[in-house]
Amino acid sequence: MSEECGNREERLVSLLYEDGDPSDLADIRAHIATCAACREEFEELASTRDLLGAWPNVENAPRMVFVGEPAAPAGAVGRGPATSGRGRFRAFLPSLAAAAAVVLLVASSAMFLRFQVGADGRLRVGFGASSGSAMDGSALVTRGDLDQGLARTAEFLEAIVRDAREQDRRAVLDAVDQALRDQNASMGNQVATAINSAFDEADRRRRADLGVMLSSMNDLQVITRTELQQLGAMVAAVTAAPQR
Amino acid sequence: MGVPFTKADAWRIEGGSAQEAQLIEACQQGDASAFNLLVRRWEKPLFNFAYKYVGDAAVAQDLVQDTFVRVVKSIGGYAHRAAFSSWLYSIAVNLCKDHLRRKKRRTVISLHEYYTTVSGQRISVKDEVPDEDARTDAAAEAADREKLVRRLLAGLSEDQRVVILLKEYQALTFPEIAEALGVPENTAKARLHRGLRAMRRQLEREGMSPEDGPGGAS
Repeated sequence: MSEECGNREERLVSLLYEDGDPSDLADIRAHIATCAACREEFEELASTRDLLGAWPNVENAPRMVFVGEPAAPAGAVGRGPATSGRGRFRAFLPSLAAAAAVVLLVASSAMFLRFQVGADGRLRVGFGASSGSAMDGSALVTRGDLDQGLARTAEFLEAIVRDAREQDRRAVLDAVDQALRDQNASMGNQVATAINSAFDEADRRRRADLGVMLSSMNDLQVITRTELQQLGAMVAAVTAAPQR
Repeated sequence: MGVPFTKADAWRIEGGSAQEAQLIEACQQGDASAFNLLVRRWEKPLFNFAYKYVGDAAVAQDLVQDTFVRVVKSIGGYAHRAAFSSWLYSIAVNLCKDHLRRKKRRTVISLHEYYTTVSGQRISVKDEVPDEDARTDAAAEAADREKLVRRLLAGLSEDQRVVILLKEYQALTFPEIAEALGVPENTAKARLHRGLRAMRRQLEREGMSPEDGPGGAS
């Protein structure tokens, strides 16, 4: 070993990854050609580095879709009730959209949140492509996921349906389903549209409660995967409510 | 504000390029489609980084999601002083560290004694009695070598491991790694060097070399 072996660790690593000033790398190359100790160490580092290749990166990493509006200007978030029914709900929507909303999807290409009323009268919530009638089974929100939903929000929507007449209840579900089918929009917009549709069809007396519930969602700041599942729970609870 | 490239192009956006700067600026101005491109560009590398760091695919997904949430909240303050990748990975590294710190408080089991794959399978990294039939199969050999790498990396200090993950698997430059970790460049290099040396010493203690580890050339 000679004086030229100074800073050996750093220099050998630079050469190992060919990451450094080209002239410095040339100097290191020239040095290890003449220094047996450094050459041996470099070769050991290289063979150990080669082993790292045995753990490849995952190619099918889960996909994510951003569904909100980033960097919303201060004051853009709606707070407090508005005067009309739909207007009241609209007042809450900007805060949902302005939240830093990211939804994680285990899916590929354009995926949309879809609700579908099954033969058993229950609503299924899942992710599916924008076309086709079948639900994609790969990323369905399971009953187990739904069970973890927000009891409070489920209670509100359940109450809406319980208090509504049967045809109203069906109208809510149909409106949600149709809104999600018709829109070729982002998931965030689809969720918002679905909630809006449900709100439009809901018994007027329950709208204030729904507004309170949505207002409480403002504090969540983000729509995470868990929260999306909670939204699923909320809607599933609607369909599970006893019919009148 | 629109950006002149599509999701299909997102992968081609290079660090430090004018395209990247344009994309970041669009995000800073609140362009949701630009942020989607940013997510598309970085979701896979970030997932792989987090997955290798914490050893659990589901946790890695959540950590990547948290990383993007933080990016959304703070991208307005990103001032291009450091490479965007450094800024992004510094967020991811801190979240991964926080996760492991919290997890350490809850468990005495080695964090990397088991790992959970993308498909949810829980696998031990401990050596298993080799199945002679399986060892003739190339896939089984590759799996053995992968398990060995996981175990060797798990045996490193966190400082050494994170540098190896960022350099070897994320291909960050040393200046980018130094920025992301907030350490001098030579410190990052020294940690990587020591990490590789430690892996080799461990192999030697076990009577192996990188060349003839499980499934390797004898």
